[in-house]
Amino acid sequence: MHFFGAQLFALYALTVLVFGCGAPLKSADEVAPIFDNAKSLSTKMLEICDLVSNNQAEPNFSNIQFDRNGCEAAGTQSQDLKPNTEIILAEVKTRKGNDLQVSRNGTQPAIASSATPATDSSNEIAVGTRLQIWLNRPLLKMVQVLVPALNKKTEAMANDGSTATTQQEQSKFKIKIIGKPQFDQENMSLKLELSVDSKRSDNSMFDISNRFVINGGLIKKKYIFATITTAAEADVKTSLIKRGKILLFVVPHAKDIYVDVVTDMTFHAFGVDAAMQEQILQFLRKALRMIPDFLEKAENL
Amino acid sequence: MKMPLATFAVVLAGTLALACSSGDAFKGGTAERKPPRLAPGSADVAGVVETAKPILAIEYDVSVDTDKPMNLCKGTANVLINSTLKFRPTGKLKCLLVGEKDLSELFKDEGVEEEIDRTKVPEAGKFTRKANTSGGARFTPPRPNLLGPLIQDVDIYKNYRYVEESTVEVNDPQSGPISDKGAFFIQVLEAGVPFTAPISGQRYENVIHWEISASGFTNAGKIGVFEKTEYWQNARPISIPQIKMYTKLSQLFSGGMSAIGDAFLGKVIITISVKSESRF
Repeated sequence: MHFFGAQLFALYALTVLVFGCGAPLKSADEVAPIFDNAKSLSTKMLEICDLVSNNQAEPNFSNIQFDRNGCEAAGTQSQDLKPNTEIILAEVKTRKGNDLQVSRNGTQPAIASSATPATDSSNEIAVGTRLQIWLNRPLLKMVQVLVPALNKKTEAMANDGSTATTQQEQSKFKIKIIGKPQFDQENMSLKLELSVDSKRSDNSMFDISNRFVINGGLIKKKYIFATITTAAEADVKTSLIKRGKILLFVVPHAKDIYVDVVTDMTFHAFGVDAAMQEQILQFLRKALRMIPDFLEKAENL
Repeated sequence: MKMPLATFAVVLAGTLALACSSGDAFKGGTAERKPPRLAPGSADVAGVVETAKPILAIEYDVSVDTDKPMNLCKGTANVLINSTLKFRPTGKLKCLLVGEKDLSELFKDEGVEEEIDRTKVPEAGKFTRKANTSGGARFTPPRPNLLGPLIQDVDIYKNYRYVEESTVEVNDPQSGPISDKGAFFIQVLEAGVPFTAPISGQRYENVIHWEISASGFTNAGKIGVFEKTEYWQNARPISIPQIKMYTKLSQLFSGGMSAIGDAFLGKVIITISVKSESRF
Protein backbone atom coordinates (compact mmCIF):
# COMPACT_ATOMS: atom_id res chain seq x y z
CA MET A 1 0.00 0.00 0.00
CA HIS A 2 1.46 3.34 -0.97
CA PHE A 3 1.49 6.40 1.26
CA PHE A 4 -1.87 7.85 0.07
CA GLY A 5 -3.45 4.47 0.64
CA ALA A 6 -2.12 4.39 4.22
CA GLN A 7 -3.62 7.79 5.01
CA LEU A 8 -6.93 6.68 3.60
CA PHE A 9 -6.82 3.51 5.64
CA ALA A 10 -6.06 5.46 8.80
CA LEU A 11 -8.94 7.85 8.14
CA TYR A 12 -11.24 4.94 7.45
CA ALA A 13 -10.17 3.13 10.59
CA LEU A 14 -10.68 6.25 12.68
CA THR A 15 -14.11 6.85 11.19
CA VAL A 16 -15.16 3.28 11.83
CA LEU A 17 -13.88 3.41 15.38
CA VAL A 18 -15.60 6.68 16.18
CA PHE A 19 -18.96 5.65 14.77
CA GLY A 20 -18.54 2.05 15.78
CA CYS A 21 -18.13 3.08 19.39
CA GLY A 22 -21.30 5.08 19.13
CA ALA A 23 -19.67 8.43 19.72
CA PRO A 24 -21.55 11.17 17.90
CA LEU A 25 -19.67 13.90 16.14
CA LYS A 26 -19.36 16.93 18.42
CA SER A 27 -18.47 20.56 17.96
CA ALA A 28 -15.58 22.16 19.89
CA ASP A 29 -18.05 23.69 22.34
CA GLU A 30 -19.71 20.35 22.84
CA VAL A 31 -16.49 18.53 23.71
CA ALA A 32 -15.29 21.24 26.09
CA PRO A 33 -16.96 19.58 29.10
CA ILE A 34 -14.97 16.41 28.39
CA PHE A 35 -11.80 18.35 28.99
CA ASP A 36 -13.46 20.17 31.86
CA ASN A 37 -13.88 16.74 33.44
CA ALA A 38 -10.14 16.28 33.34
CA LYS A 39 -9.60 18.97 35.97
CA SER A 40 -7.13 18.05 38.64
CA LEU A 41 -8.30 17.53 42.20
CA SER A 42 -6.50 20.63 43.37
CA THR A 43 -8.19 22.69 40.63
CA LYS A 44 -11.55 21.49 41.87
CA MET A 45 -10.66 22.26 45.47
CA LEU A 46 -9.44 25.70 44.44
CA GLU A 47 -12.79 26.35 42.79
CA ILE A 48 -14.41 25.71 46.16
CA CYS A 49 -11.79 27.75 48.01
CA ASP A 50 -12.15 30.77 45.76
CA LEU A 51 -15.89 30.79 46.12
CA VAL A 52 -15.98 30.12 49.83
CA SER A 53 -13.23 32.54 50.85
CA ASN A 54 -15.41 35.44 49.69
CA ASN A 55 -18.30 34.42 51.91
CA GLN A 56 -19.02 36.93 54.63
CA ALA A 57 -21.09 34.43 56.58
CA GLU A 58 -20.66 30.69 57.12
CA PRO A 59 -19.65 28.54 55.39
CA ASN A 60 -16.29 30.25 55.08
CA PHE A 61 -12.69 30.02 56.28
CA SER A 62 -13.00 32.42 59.21
CA ASN A 63 -11.55 31.29 62.56
CA ILE A 64 -9.55 28.45 61.05
CA GLN A 65 -6.03 28.27 59.71
CA PHE A 66 -6.77 27.17 56.17
CA ASP A 67 -6.26 28.89 52.82
CA ARG A 68 -5.67 28.37 49.08
CA ASN A 69 -2.42 26.53 49.75
CA GLY A 70 -4.39 23.99 51.73
CA CYS A 71 -6.78 23.51 48.82
CA GLU A 72 -3.92 23.10 46.41
CA ALA A 73 -2.41 20.32 48.54
CA ALA A 74 -5.59 18.23 48.31
CA GLY A 75 -5.07 14.50 48.07
CA THR A 76 -1.32 14.57 48.45
CA GLN A 77 -1.48 12.85 51.83
CA SER A 78 -4.61 10.84 51.29
CA GLN A 79 -5.50 7.31 52.29
CA ASP A 80 -8.00 4.83 50.89
CA LEU A 81 -10.98 3.87 52.96
CA LYS A 82 -11.03 0.16 53.51
CA PRO A 83 -12.93 -1.87 56.12
CA ASN A 84 -11.33 -1.53 59.54
CA THR A 85 -8.76 0.91 58.24
CA GLU A 86 -7.10 2.89 60.95
CA ILE A 87 -7.64 6.60 60.44
CA ILE A 88 -4.32 8.25 59.72
CA LEU A 89 -4.33 11.99 60.12
CA ALA A 90 -2.53 13.58 57.20
CA GLU A 91 -1.45 16.52 59.30
CA VAL A 92 -1.45 17.36 63.00
CA LYS A 93 -0.77 20.81 64.41
CA THR A 94 -0.68 21.59 68.10
CA ARG A 95 -0.55 25.09 69.48
CA LYS A 96 0.06 26.00 73.10
CA GLY A 97 0.47 29.72 73.62
CA ASN A 98 2.93 30.75 70.90
CA ASP A 99 4.40 27.27 70.54
CA LEU A 100 3.25 25.69 67.27
CA GLN A 101 4.26 22.16 66.27
CA VAL A 102 3.37 20.55 62.95
CA SER A 103 3.76 16.96 61.84
CA ARG A 104 2.70 14.97 58.81
CA ASN A 105 2.51 11.30 57.74
CA GLY A 106 0.53 10.16 60.74
CA THR A 107 3.19 10.85 63.34
CA GLN A 108 2.51 13.07 66.29
CA PRO A 109 4.34 16.26 67.11
CA ALA A 110 5.86 16.77 70.52
CA ILE A 111 4.11 19.70 72.10
CA ALA A 112 7.31 20.83 73.75
CA SER A 113 10.81 19.52 73.53
CA SER A 114 11.80 20.32 77.09
CA ALA A 115 10.19 20.63 80.45
CA THR A 116 8.45 23.92 81.22
CA PRO A 117 7.95 25.49 84.62
CA ALA A 118 4.93 24.25 86.52
CA THR A 119 3.63 27.80 86.70
CA ASP A 120 2.74 27.76 82.97
CA SER A 121 -0.60 29.55 83.09
CA SER A 122 -1.80 28.66 79.59
CA ASN A 123 -5.02 26.78 80.15
CA GLU A 124 -5.95 25.80 76.63
CA ILE A 125 -4.40 23.74 73.87
CA ALA A 126 -5.31 23.95 70.19
CA VAL A 127 -5.11 20.89 67.97
CA GLY A 128 -5.55 21.08 64.22
CA THR A 129 -5.80 18.00 62.03
CA ARG A 130 -6.41 17.14 58.41
CA LEU A 131 -7.90 13.93 57.11
CA GLN A 132 -7.76 13.18 53.37
CA ILE A 133 -9.63 10.07 52.39
CA TRP A 134 -10.85 8.36 49.24
CA LEU A 135 -14.11 6.54 49.83
CA ASN A 136 -13.34 4.02 47.06
CA ARG A 137 -16.74 4.19 45.47
CA PRO A 138 -18.35 6.30 42.77
CA LEU A 139 -20.82 8.94 43.82
CA LEU A 140 -23.68 7.34 41.92
CA LYS A 141 -23.43 4.25 44.12
CA MET A 142 -23.26 6.42 47.21
CA VAL A 143 -26.40 8.24 46.15
CA GLN A 144 -28.19 4.96 45.60
CA VAL A 145 -27.42 3.76 49.10
CA LEU A 146 -27.49 7.06 50.96
CA VAL A 147 -30.88 8.22 49.84
CA PRO A 148 -32.81 5.40 51.54
CA ALA A 149 -30.59 5.76 54.59
CA LEU A 150 -31.13 9.50 54.82
CA ASN A 151 -34.83 9.08 54.26
CA LYS A 152 -35.04 6.53 57.03
CA LYS A 153 -33.14 8.79 59.42
CA THR A 154 -35.14 11.85 58.55
CA GLU A 155 -38.55 10.21 58.46
CA ALA A 156 -39.00 10.65 62.19
CA MET A 157 -38.01 14.27 61.90
CA ALA A 158 -40.43 14.88 59.12
CA ASN A 159 -43.16 13.41 61.28
CA ASP A 160 -42.52 15.40 64.43
CA GLY A 161 -40.74 18.26 62.71
CA SER A 162 -38.18 18.70 65.43
CA THR A 163 -35.43 16.40 66.57
CA ALA A 164 -33.75 13.09 65.86
CA THR A 165 -31.11 11.28 67.86
CA THR A 166 -28.47 8.91 66.72
CA GLN A 167 -25.89 6.97 68.64
CA GLN A 168 -22.86 5.25 67.23
CA GLU A 169 -22.65 1.92 69.01
CA GLN A 170 -18.92 1.79 69.43
CA SER A 171 -18.02 5.39 69.94
CA LYS A 172 -20.98 6.26 72.19
CA PHE A 173 -21.39 9.73 70.81
CA LYS A 174 -24.92 10.93 71.33
CA ILE A 175 -25.85 13.27 68.53
CA LYS A 176 -29.11 15.15 68.62
CA ILE A 177 -30.43 17.56 66.02
CA ILE A 178 -31.73 20.73 67.63
CA GLY A 179 -34.73 22.46 66.12
CA LYS A 180 -35.66 22.39 62.48
CA PRO A 181 -32.89 22.17 59.91
CA GLN A 182 -33.23 24.81 57.23
CA PHE A 183 -32.73 24.03 53.58
CA ASP A 184 -32.44 26.85 51.09
CA GLN A 185 -33.42 25.36 47.76
CA GLU A 186 -32.37 28.39 45.72
CA ASN A 187 -28.80 28.25 46.97
CA MET A 188 -28.83 24.50 47.65
CA SER A 189 -27.63 25.13 51.17
CA LEU A 190 -28.41 23.61 54.53
CA LYS A 191 -28.13 24.92 58.07
CA LEU A 192 -28.71 22.81 61.12
CA GLU A 193 -27.72 22.76 64.76
CA LEU A 194 -26.88 19.67 66.73
CA SER A 195 -25.64 18.68 70.14
CA VAL A 196 -22.86 16.14 70.63
CA ASP A 197 -22.45 14.43 74.00
CA SER A 198 -20.00 11.82 75.15
CA LYS A 199 -19.60 10.85 78.77
CA ARG A 200 -16.24 9.82 80.17
CA SER A 201 -17.50 6.53 81.43
CA ASP A 202 -18.68 5.53 77.96
CA ASN A 203 -15.92 6.61 75.78
CA SER A 204 -12.85 8.30 77.08
CA MET A 205 -11.21 10.02 80.00
CA PHE A 206 -13.28 13.20 79.61
CA ASP A 207 -16.74 14.64 79.04
CA ILE A 208 -17.75 16.25 75.78
CA SER A 209 -20.90 18.31 75.49
CA ASN A 210 -21.09 20.93 72.76
CA ARG A 211 -23.54 22.42 70.34
CA PHE A 212 -22.41 22.66 66.75
CA VAL A 213 -23.85 24.59 63.82
CA ILE A 214 -23.49 23.03 60.39
CA ASN A 215 -23.60 25.31 57.35
CA GLY A 216 -23.13 23.71 54.00
CA GLY A 217 -24.42 22.88 50.60
CA LEU A 218 -23.62 22.32 46.97
CA ILE A 219 -20.92 24.37 45.29
CA LYS A 220 -21.26 24.78 41.53
CA LYS A 221 -23.74 21.90 41.64
CA LYS A 222 -20.77 19.57 41.80
CA TYR A 223 -19.12 19.67 45.19
CA ILE A 224 -20.26 19.61 48.78
CA PHE A 225 -18.70 22.01 51.24
CA ALA A 226 -19.73 22.47 54.87
CA THR A 227 -18.41 24.06 58.03
CA ILE A 228 -19.13 22.75 61.49
CA THR A 229 -18.58 25.36 64.20
CA THR A 230 -19.18 25.35 67.92
CA ALA A 231 -22.24 27.44 68.73
CA ALA A 232 -20.62 28.88 71.86
CA GLU A 233 -17.54 28.48 74.03
CA ALA A 234 -17.99 25.67 76.52
CA ASP A 235 -16.92 25.76 80.14
CA VAL A 236 -14.40 23.13 81.26
CA LYS A 237 -17.03 21.64 83.57
CA THR A 238 -19.27 20.74 80.67
CA SER A 239 -16.90 19.92 77.84
CA LEU A 240 -13.26 19.33 77.09
CA ILE A 241 -13.82 21.10 73.76
CA LYS A 242 -13.74 24.84 74.34
CA ARG A 243 -14.42 25.96 70.78
CA GLY A 244 -13.60 24.81 67.28
CA LYS A 245 -14.33 24.61 63.62
CA ILE A 246 -14.33 21.83 61.05
CA LEU A 247 -14.23 22.15 57.25
CA LEU A 248 -15.71 19.32 55.21
CA PHE A 249 -15.07 19.01 51.47
CA VAL A 250 -16.65 16.28 49.35
CA VAL A 251 -15.33 16.23 45.80
CA PRO A 252 -16.19 13.60 43.18
CA HIS A 253 -13.01 12.89 41.26
CA ALA A 254 -11.59 10.14 39.06
CA LYS A 255 -14.68 7.94 39.56
CA ASP A 256 -14.19 8.12 43.30
CA ILE A 257 -15.18 10.45 46.11
CA TYR A 258 -12.56 12.51 47.82
CA VAL A 259 -13.32 13.69 51.37
CA ASP A 260 -11.14 16.29 53.04
CA VAL A 261 -11.78 17.16 56.69
CA VAL A 262 -9.85 19.99 58.32
CA THR A 263 -10.31 20.51 62.06
CA ASP A 264 -9.10 23.30 64.32
CA MET A 265 -10.27 22.66 67.89
CA THR A 266 -9.31 24.35 71.11
CA PHE A 267 -9.41 22.20 74.23
CA HIS A 268 -9.21 23.02 77.92
CA ALA A 269 -5.72 22.12 79.12
CA PHE A 270 -4.78 20.26 82.29
CA GLY A 271 -1.05 20.92 82.42
CA VAL A 272 -0.20 17.50 80.99
CA ASP A 273 -0.08 18.37 77.32
CA ALA A 274 1.62 15.25 75.96
CA ALA A 275 -1.05 13.03 77.56
CA MET A 276 -3.81 15.41 76.50
CA GLN A 277 -2.56 15.44 72.94
CA GLU A 278 -2.69 11.65 72.75
CA GLN A 279 -6.20 11.60 74.21
CA ILE A 280 -7.38 14.37 71.90
CA LEU A 281 -6.00 12.70 68.78
CA GLN A 282 -7.57 9.41 69.80
CA PHE A 283 -10.86 11.24 70.25
CA LEU A 284 -10.55 13.02 66.90
CA ARG A 285 -9.71 9.77 65.10
CA LYS A 286 -12.77 8.19 66.67
CA ALA A 287 -14.96 11.16 65.78
CA LEU A 288 -13.64 11.37 62.22
CA ARG A 289 -14.04 7.62 61.82
CA MET A 290 -17.78 8.20 62.21
CA ILE A 291 -17.93 9.78 58.75
CA PRO A 292 -16.70 6.75 56.76
CA ASP A 293 -18.42 4.41 59.24
CA PHE A 294 -21.74 6.09 58.51
CA LEU A 295 -21.17 5.68 54.79
CA GLU A 296 -20.22 2.01 55.26
CA LYS A 297 -23.30 1.37 57.38
CA ALA A 298 -25.57 3.12 54.92
CA GLU A 299 -24.43 0.71 52.23
CA ASN A 300 -25.45 -2.24 54.36
CA LEU A 301 -28.93 -1.01 55.14
CA MET B 1 -36.99 28.83 50.38
CA LYS B 2 -36.85 26.76 53.56
CA MET B 3 -37.68 23.10 53.90
CA PRO B 4 -37.16 20.29 56.36
CA LEU B 5 -34.18 17.95 56.27
CA ALA B 6 -36.18 15.02 54.92
CA THR B 7 -37.04 17.04 51.85
CA PHE B 8 -33.47 18.25 51.62
CA ALA B 9 -32.24 14.67 51.52
CA VAL B 10 -34.54 13.87 48.65
CA VAL B 11 -33.73 17.07 46.74
CA LEU B 12 -29.98 16.58 47.24
CA ALA B 13 -30.24 12.97 46.15
CA GLY B 14 -32.25 13.96 43.11
CA THR B 15 -29.73 16.62 42.16
CA LEU B 16 -26.85 14.22 42.58
CA ALA B 17 -28.60 11.48 40.66
CA LEU B 18 -29.45 13.83 37.78
CA ALA B 19 -25.91 15.09 37.64
CA CYS B 20 -24.63 11.54 37.46
CA SER B 21 -27.02 10.35 34.80
CA SER B 22 -26.34 13.38 32.61
CA GLY B 23 -22.63 12.61 32.59
CA ASP B 24 -21.80 15.85 34.35
CA ALA B 25 -18.64 16.39 36.34
CA PHE B 26 -20.17 14.50 39.26
CA LYS B 27 -19.29 11.24 37.67
CA GLY B 28 -15.64 12.09 37.51
CA GLY B 29 -14.30 11.87 33.97
CA THR B 30 -12.24 8.98 32.75
CA ALA B 31 -9.40 11.41 32.05
CA GLU B 32 -9.23 12.35 35.72
CA ARG B 33 -6.37 11.05 37.77
CA LYS B 34 -5.84 10.97 41.48
CA PRO B 35 -2.95 13.18 42.58
CA PRO B 36 0.31 11.48 43.49
CA ARG B 37 0.68 10.93 47.21
CA LEU B 38 3.58 12.59 48.92
CA ALA B 39 2.97 10.55 52.05
CA PRO B 40 2.75 6.78 52.27
CA GLY B 41 -0.66 5.14 52.46
CA SER B 42 -2.20 4.00 55.69
CA ALA B 43 -0.62 0.56 55.53
CA ASP B 44 2.81 2.11 55.42
CA VAL B 45 2.36 4.18 58.52
CA ALA B 46 0.27 1.70 60.50
CA GLY B 47 3.48 0.42 62.01
CA VAL B 48 4.22 3.72 63.68
CA VAL B 49 4.60 2.85 67.34
CA GLU B 50 3.44 5.46 69.78
CA THR B 51 5.69 5.43 72.79
CA ALA B 52 4.66 6.80 76.14
CA LYS B 53 5.94 10.32 76.64
CA PRO B 54 6.94 11.94 79.89
CA ILE B 55 4.33 14.45 81.00
CA LEU B 56 5.27 15.45 84.52
CA ALA B 57 8.45 15.20 86.59
CA ILE B 58 8.05 15.79 90.32
CA GLU B 59 10.65 15.89 93.02
CA TYR B 60 9.20 14.92 96.38
CA ASP B 61 10.49 15.21 99.91
CA VAL B 62 9.87 11.90 101.68
CA SER B 63 9.62 11.52 105.40
CA VAL B 64 8.79 8.33 107.31
CA ASP B 65 7.55 9.01 110.83
CA THR B 66 5.71 7.17 113.55
CA ASP B 67 2.59 8.52 115.16
CA LYS B 68 4.50 8.89 118.49
CA PRO B 69 6.05 11.03 116.75
CA MET B 70 9.51 9.91 115.73
CA ASN B 71 11.32 10.29 112.41
CA LEU B 72 12.51 6.99 110.97
CA CYS B 73 13.64 7.94 107.46
CA LYS B 74 14.31 11.00 105.31
CA GLY B 75 14.98 11.27 101.61
CA THR B 76 14.04 12.56 98.19
CA ALA B 77 11.99 10.81 95.55
CA ASN B 78 11.97 11.62 91.85
CA VAL B 79 8.81 10.66 90.03
CA LEU B 80 8.51 10.74 86.26
CA ILE B 81 4.92 10.28 85.13
CA ASN B 82 4.40 9.30 81.51
CA SER B 83 1.43 9.76 79.21
CA THR B 84 -0.02 6.39 80.20
CA LEU B 85 -0.02 7.72 83.80
CA LYS B 86 2.40 5.00 84.82
CA PHE B 87 5.07 6.01 87.28
CA ARG B 88 7.66 4.59 89.58
CA PRO B 89 9.55 6.64 92.12
CA THR B 90 13.32 6.49 92.27
CA GLY B 91 15.55 7.63 95.09
CA LYS B 92 16.91 6.54 98.43
CA LEU B 93 15.87 6.98 102.03
CA LYS B 94 18.28 7.25 104.95
CA CYS B 95 16.72 5.40 107.85
CA LEU B 96 17.48 4.81 111.49
CA LEU B 97 18.72 1.31 112.32
CA VAL B 98 18.21 -0.17 108.83
CA GLY B 99 20.42 2.31 106.96
CA GLU B 100 19.76 3.23 103.32
CA LYS B 101 16.63 1.91 101.63
CA ASP B 102 15.70 2.02 97.98
CA LEU B 103 12.34 3.73 97.37
CA SER B 104 11.30 1.18 94.75
CA GLU B 105 11.18 -1.39 97.59
CA LEU B 106 8.61 0.71 99.46
CA PHE B 107 6.39 1.40 96.47
CA LYS B 108 6.07 -2.12 95.12
CA ASP B 109 2.58 -1.47 93.82
CA GLU B 110 3.43 1.23 91.28
CA GLY B 111 4.80 -1.17 88.70
CA VAL B 112 2.89 -3.35 86.26
CA GLU B 113 -0.38 -2.14 84.84
CA GLU B 114 -2.83 -3.77 82.50
CA GLU B 115 -5.14 -2.28 79.95
CA ILE B 116 -8.55 -2.14 81.59
CA ASP B 117 -11.85 -2.03 79.74
CA ARG B 118 -13.29 1.07 81.36
CA THR B 119 -16.81 0.29 80.26
CA LYS B 120 -16.87 -2.97 82.25
CA VAL B 121 -15.95 -1.69 85.69
CA PRO B 122 -18.22 0.15 88.12
CA GLU B 123 -17.76 3.90 88.64
CA ALA B 124 -15.88 4.14 85.32
CA GLY B 125 -14.66 7.63 84.78
CA LYS B 126 -14.59 8.54 88.47
CA PHE B 127 -11.17 7.04 89.10
CA THR B 128 -8.43 5.07 87.41
CA ARG B 129 -7.80 1.43 88.23
CA LYS B 130 -4.95 -1.00 88.09
CA ALA B 131 -5.23 -4.77 87.91
CA ASN B 132 -1.78 -5.90 89.00
CA THR B 133 1.07 -4.96 91.25
CA SER B 134 4.73 -5.53 90.51
CA GLY B 135 4.70 -8.06 93.36
CA GLY B 136 2.39 -10.20 91.24
CA ALA B 137 -0.84 -9.59 93.17
CA ARG B 138 -3.90 -9.50 90.98
CA PHE B 139 -7.10 -7.73 92.05
CA THR B 140 -10.61 -8.51 90.89
CA PRO B 141 -12.08 -6.06 90.04
CA PRO B 142 -8.98 -4.01 89.25
CA ARG B 143 -8.39 -1.92 92.33
CA PRO B 144 -9.08 1.84 92.49
CA ASN B 145 -5.96 3.94 91.97
CA LEU B 146 -6.34 7.71 91.46
CA LEU B 147 -9.31 10.02 91.02
CA GLY B 148 -9.86 11.33 87.50
CA PRO B 149 -7.26 11.76 86.17
CA LEU B 150 -8.81 14.51 84.01
CA ILE B 151 -11.16 16.16 86.48
CA GLN B 152 -13.26 18.72 84.64
CA ASP B 153 -15.68 19.42 87.48
CA VAL B 154 -14.47 18.96 91.07
CA ASP B 155 -18.03 19.40 92.32
CA ILE B 156 -18.92 15.85 91.29
CA TYR B 157 -16.49 14.65 93.97
CA LYS B 158 -17.96 16.67 96.83
CA ASN B 159 -18.92 14.20 99.60
CA TYR B 160 -18.11 11.31 97.25
CA ARG B 161 -17.88 7.88 98.93
CA TYR B 162 -17.47 4.51 97.37
CA VAL B 163 -16.97 1.00 98.77
CA GLU B 164 -15.91 -1.97 96.72
CA GLU B 165 -15.23 -5.56 97.72
CA SER B 166 -12.14 -7.02 96.18
CA THR B 167 -10.48 -10.39 95.73
CA VAL B 168 -6.74 -10.64 95.39
CA GLU B 169 -4.53 -13.49 94.32
CA VAL B 170 -0.80 -13.58 94.76
CA ASN B 171 1.85 -16.25 94.40
CA ASP B 172 3.95 -16.03 97.57
CA PRO B 173 7.47 -17.49 97.09
CA GLN B 174 7.39 -19.08 100.57
CA SER B 175 3.79 -20.23 101.05
CA GLY B 176 2.59 -20.57 97.43
CA PRO B 177 -0.63 -19.10 95.98
CA ILE B 178 -2.63 -16.91 98.37
CA SER B 179 -6.19 -15.79 97.80
CA ASP B 180 -7.44 -12.99 99.98
CA LYS B 181 -10.59 -10.91 100.29
CA GLY B 182 -11.08 -7.39 101.48
CA ALA B 183 -12.59 -4.04 100.57
CA PHE B 184 -11.50 -0.63 99.36
CA PHE B 185 -13.21 2.47 100.67
CA ILE B 186 -12.84 5.83 98.90
CA GLN B 187 -13.84 8.96 100.75
CA VAL B 188 -13.51 12.55 99.56
CA LEU B 189 -12.83 14.82 102.52
CA GLU B 190 -12.75 18.17 100.69
CA ALA B 191 -13.18 19.16 97.04
CA GLY B 192 -12.23 22.37 95.24
CA VAL B 193 -10.16 23.79 98.08
CA PRO B 194 -6.77 25.57 97.97
CA PHE B 195 -3.69 23.82 99.33
CA THR B 196 -0.17 25.13 99.95
CA ALA B 197 2.56 22.50 99.68
CA PRO B 198 4.47 22.61 102.98
CA ILE B 199 7.97 22.14 101.49
CA SER B 200 7.82 24.12 98.22
CA GLY B 201 5.30 26.70 99.43
CA GLN B 202 3.54 26.41 96.08
CA ARG B 203 -0.19 27.07 96.23
CA TYR B 204 -2.66 24.84 94.40
CA GLU B 205 -6.13 26.29 93.88
CA ASN B 206 -8.35 23.36 93.01
CA VAL B 207 -7.48 20.48 95.29
CA ILE B 208 -9.46 17.37 96.12
CA HIS B 209 -8.38 15.98 99.48
CA TRP B 210 -9.36 12.32 99.57
CA GLU B 211 -8.36 8.98 101.01
CA ILE B 212 -8.54 5.33 100.12
CA SER B 213 -8.41 2.70 102.82
CA ALA B 214 -8.14 -1.03 102.59
CA SER B 215 -9.72 -3.35 105.13
CA GLY B 216 -10.11 -7.07 105.58
CA PHE B 217 -6.99 -8.16 103.70
CA THR B 218 -5.12 -10.52 106.03
CA ASN B 219 -1.99 -10.53 103.87
CA ALA B 220 -1.80 -6.79 103.23
CA GLY B 221 1.99 -6.77 103.39
CA LYS B 222 2.34 -9.42 100.73
CA ILE B 223 -0.04 -7.77 98.31
CA GLY B 224 1.37 -4.25 98.64
CA VAL B 225 -1.72 -2.56 100.07
CA PHE B 226 -1.45 0.22 102.64
CA GLU B 227 -3.99 0.57 105.42
CA LYS B 228 -4.82 4.08 104.26
CA THR B 229 -3.49 6.51 101.67
CA GLU B 230 -4.43 10.17 101.77
CA TYR B 231 -4.09 12.34 98.65
CA TRP B 232 -4.08 16.08 98.00
CA GLN B 233 -4.79 16.00 94.27
CA ASN B 234 -5.01 19.19 92.21
CA ALA B 235 -7.51 19.04 89.37
CA ARG B 236 -6.12 21.65 86.98
CA PRO B 237 -3.25 21.65 86.32
CA ILE B 238 -3.00 17.98 87.24
CA SER B 239 -0.70 17.41 90.18
CA ILE B 240 -0.45 15.56 93.46
CA PRO B 241 1.29 17.99 95.82
CA GLN B 242 1.07 15.70 98.83
CA ILE B 243 0.46 12.05 99.73
CA LYS B 244 0.33 10.45 103.17
CA MET B 245 0.43 6.70 103.59
CA TYR B 246 -0.47 4.95 106.83
CA THR B 247 0.97 1.51 107.45
CA LYS B 248 3.01 -0.63 109.83
CA LEU B 249 6.77 -0.91 110.12
CA SER B 250 6.58 -4.62 109.36
CA GLN B 251 4.97 -3.88 106.03
CA LEU B 252 7.76 -1.50 105.06
CA PHE B 253 10.77 -3.44 106.25
CA SER B 254 10.96 -7.19 106.51
CA GLY B 255 12.89 -8.85 109.38
CA GLY B 256 12.49 -9.56 113.05
CA MET B 257 13.02 -5.95 114.14
CA SER B 258 9.92 -4.85 112.25
CA ALA B 259 7.51 -7.01 114.20
CA ILE B 260 8.92 -5.67 117.46
CA GLY B 261 8.80 -2.18 115.99
CA ASP B 262 5.10 -2.54 115.26
CA ALA B 263 4.46 -3.14 118.95
CA PHE B 264 6.56 -0.22 120.19
CA LEU B 265 6.26 2.42 117.47
CA GLY B 266 2.63 2.03 116.43
CA LYS B 267 1.55 3.35 113.03
CA VAL B 268 4.03 4.51 110.46
CA ILE B 269 3.16 7.56 108.35
CA ILE B 270 4.98 8.18 105.09
CA THR B 271 4.61 11.82 104.02
CA ILE B 272 5.47 12.63 100.44
CA SER B 273 5.41 16.35 99.71
CA VAL B 274 6.28 18.15 96.49
CA LYS B 275 9.57 20.07 96.32
CA SER B 276 9.47 21.03 92.63
CA GLU B 277 7.71 19.95 89.47
CA SER B 278 8.28 20.30 85.72
CA ARG B 279 5.80 19.78 82.92
CA PHE B 280 6.51 18.49 79.42
